[in-house]
Amino acid sequence: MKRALKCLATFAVAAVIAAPATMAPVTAQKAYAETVTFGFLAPLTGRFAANGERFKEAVDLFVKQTNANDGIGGRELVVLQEDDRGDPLQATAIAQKYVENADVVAAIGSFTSSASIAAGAIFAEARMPQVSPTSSHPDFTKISPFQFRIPNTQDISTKHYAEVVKQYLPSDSVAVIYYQDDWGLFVGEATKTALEKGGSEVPIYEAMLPETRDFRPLITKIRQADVDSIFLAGHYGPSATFLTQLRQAGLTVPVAAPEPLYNHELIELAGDAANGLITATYFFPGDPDKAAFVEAYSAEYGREPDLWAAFAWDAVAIAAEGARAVVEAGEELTREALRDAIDALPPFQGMTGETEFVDGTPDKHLTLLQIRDGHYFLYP
Amino acid sequence: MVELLLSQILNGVVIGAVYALIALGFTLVFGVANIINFAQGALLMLGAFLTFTMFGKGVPIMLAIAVSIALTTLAGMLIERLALRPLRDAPYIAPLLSTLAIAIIFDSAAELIWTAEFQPFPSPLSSYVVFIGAAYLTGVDIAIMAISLVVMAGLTLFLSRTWTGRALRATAQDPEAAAQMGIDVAFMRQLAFGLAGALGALAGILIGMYYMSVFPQMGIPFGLKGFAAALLGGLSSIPGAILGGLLLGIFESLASGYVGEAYRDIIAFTVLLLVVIVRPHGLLGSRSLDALGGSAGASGGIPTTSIVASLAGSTGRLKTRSVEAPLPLLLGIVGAFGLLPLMTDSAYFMQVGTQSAIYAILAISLTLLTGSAGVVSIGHAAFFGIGAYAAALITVHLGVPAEAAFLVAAVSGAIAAALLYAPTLRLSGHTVALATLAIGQIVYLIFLTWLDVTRGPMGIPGVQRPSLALMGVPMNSLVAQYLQALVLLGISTAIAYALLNSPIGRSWRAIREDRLAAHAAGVPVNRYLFMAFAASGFLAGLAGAQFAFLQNFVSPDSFIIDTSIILISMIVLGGLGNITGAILGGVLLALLPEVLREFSEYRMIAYGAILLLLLRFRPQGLAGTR
Repeated sequence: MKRALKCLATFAVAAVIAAPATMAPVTAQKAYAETVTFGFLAPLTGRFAANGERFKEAVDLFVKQTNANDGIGGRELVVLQEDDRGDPLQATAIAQKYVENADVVAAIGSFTSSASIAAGAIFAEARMPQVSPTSSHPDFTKISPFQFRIPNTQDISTKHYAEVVKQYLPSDSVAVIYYQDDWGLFVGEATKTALEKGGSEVPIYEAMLPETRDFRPLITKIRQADVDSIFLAGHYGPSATFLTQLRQAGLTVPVAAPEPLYNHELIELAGDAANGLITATYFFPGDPDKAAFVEAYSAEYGREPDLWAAFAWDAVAIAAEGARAVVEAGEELTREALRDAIDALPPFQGMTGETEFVDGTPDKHLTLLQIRDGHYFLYP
Repeated sequence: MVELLLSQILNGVVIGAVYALIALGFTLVFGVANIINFAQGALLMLGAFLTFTMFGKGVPIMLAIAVSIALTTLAGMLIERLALRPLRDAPYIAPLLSTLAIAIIFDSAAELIWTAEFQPFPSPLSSYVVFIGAAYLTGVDIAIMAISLVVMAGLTLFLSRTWTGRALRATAQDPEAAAQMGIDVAFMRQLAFGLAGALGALAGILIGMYYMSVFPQMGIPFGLKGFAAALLGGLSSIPGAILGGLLLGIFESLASGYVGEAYRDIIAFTVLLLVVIVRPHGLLGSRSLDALGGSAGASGGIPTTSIVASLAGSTGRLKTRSVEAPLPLLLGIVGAFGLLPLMTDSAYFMQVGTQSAIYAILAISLTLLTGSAGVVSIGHAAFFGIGAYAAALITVHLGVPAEAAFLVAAVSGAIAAALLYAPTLRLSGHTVALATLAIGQIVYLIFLTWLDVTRGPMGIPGVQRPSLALMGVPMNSLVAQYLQALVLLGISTAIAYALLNSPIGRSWRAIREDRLAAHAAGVPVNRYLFMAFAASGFLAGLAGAQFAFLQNFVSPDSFIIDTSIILISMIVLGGLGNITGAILGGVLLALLPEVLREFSEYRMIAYGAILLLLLRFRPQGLAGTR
């Protein structure tokens, strides 16, 4: 409280004076003559702040490591940062700001597909490459050849989800629960269709509304429908509550969920109710190939990187890799040259697997995980 | 079947008891101070997080709970001191907004201190489960129900049997008379806020236990439901708050069980709206003083239902002068901004400039309805959204020229406002606020769930900026959009100016000041209010269309309740019923987040603080109330 009041006092004064503070980029450890500048946008406050924060941490770490290690072909990497609160309106204002700044050659962001798509139209018009760490909505890369994404599109992923449910769970009758946002709607709908095509019944197909935290009426319905398994396309916070209430109700139905539920907070929030959950991921820190990243991140922030951190790391790393290719070829680093370089990169071995862009989108394999005794383990 | 029904009702009773506890906090403050405390949700969050923090540091749970309740009580009293007491003579909507500003500050500060993530909350009772049919009760549920009943009984006894309780009620009924009887009225109000803080903390802690998790934004959804429950029960009635909470919970649960989880809130708010229309004073509220503007109205020199009257009953605006620029000057200023593209080709300025113009049009639209006609509209984002969707759909599907798109959007806004707000004709004061809030939420939820038309949360992408039919001028560039927005702002200003300075505007102000007296004097009240709905909806629809073309994208996120609340803030900041003020407030609040962008994480705190300071030192608005 005291801290809040102090901040309040400081900023009330500062805001009244309205001194235009300058953006403080991550400081370089040694002096570079030239810079390579990216613009990063993500929800650092508001509903998705938890995800945006992981993005920011990974990006900061990447900048620090790159600049400690001769930068990008001898140029300093600078990443400007803005908070869009996950709001398409704010994302477009930020996009305009970056587009106008002649130094910025690529944009990294945003988190939600709706914000990324809104900003994407502006980046496309300015012919600036945009690498989104997470936007998996098919429409995103359809905007222009300047959009790239690190995850699979939802339709590629969903194909995998339905296969997992059929292969590993009893699936004659499946309840599909989805979070009512752009991602959840698409995944819920596509998985339901794929399951029905595969011969499963889907008697329960229901949305979780963004501000709902009470799932008991839904669980009562699930009990009545007597399903064999549940497919839960939700984010970790509401899903933890759902799992808790589901297990409290004494239902032992197995649950499978897409990659947002690979998150240690889920186990912390749901406790024992999380055990048995089958989920998928692009990134598992237990993987020995990724030890260097996991160690550096843990040393910096005191916790293991999560999937979101890995996504953001790959997004900024791929953009930087593209910039390096341009700089090392001795060409001028323009936005268009950078786009072509990113598009032409050889398969990139990143934290989320192998990224090779076809029309801006990769096709990656997911790693299956199961929660047992409060920890994630490789599955099966 | 019966078992399923009973199970769903039981589910509803459990969540309803949570709503009831939150509603009690609203009820207490409303009963005594006659103000809707928007910071109630923030107090709830604060109580939960204090307990979470202390428990995390090893403090025993019962002690942590007790200390949190005590600290939140103090926070409640502090809010009264900061947000309410200095604004006794301001229009009653000003303290309302200042509690809102405090809520923004608290929520953002909590995000900084505790991060935005969900945190696990200790819940020792939740492992105890009893099954009843297809539903179940946990130890926490039983505790919640028991505590709501104990609190209700305790409050009733306290208010009826103790001296302090009677003094509180006396303050509620007639603060002037109470003061003459030697009651420290200011302290009584502070006490009510303190008690509301304690109840909020208790509700927050129980919610934390119920969901076994807490998060900084938790105050908003629960605050909204608690507020709705309180209004449903009849704002100042304690048993009403409990009944309202339980009924709201049961409606929701049945809606989810029989219609679908996605429709639960639509149905809950629709039922709420129907109840308000049928019984405007709530289920158990008293209607005795309705005609005189409630208990506060009765205490002042002139009984009034006016929204510009202060809590103390006086029409404070008599003491202040309003600043109003003449129409040619306003149009001249708007026109001068049209020269901006000659000085800078910065797309960022064009983008922000267009946004400011959109907000200014919205503020003018709202100031006609709320500022001038006195109908408090907390659902105005609905008409903004309807205009935006209408413009987006018609250009995507039919490819019409700009003029036609704007006309369709504006007319859609006007028709929607006239139809949707028609049920509020019979209502006044706080019940109008509730009805419009419910309407705003329902429209937002329709945007979110009517996938066939709105594409739900995916929104409508690729909205092309249509050319003008007039000589086929292309309007694709941002500069063209900026100029187009300025022209729309000019037109809106001229329309609003003509309306407010005509007999129509005078009739609106008469209705605002005293609907009964206006009616008695022969003003056809309903006809004039319909006109206000339509005019306001027309301008909001226009702004919505410009918004759709600016963004090239429309999604429900832009039309949440926060947008409606920001709009209200704009017109209060600018000065109610004052066009100059509306433009000023609209532009200021559109620019503020952009100016504060440099402060990134402290931005929302600064926003709340500035709002608070402006209200504190200029409660009648920057340009004054007309």
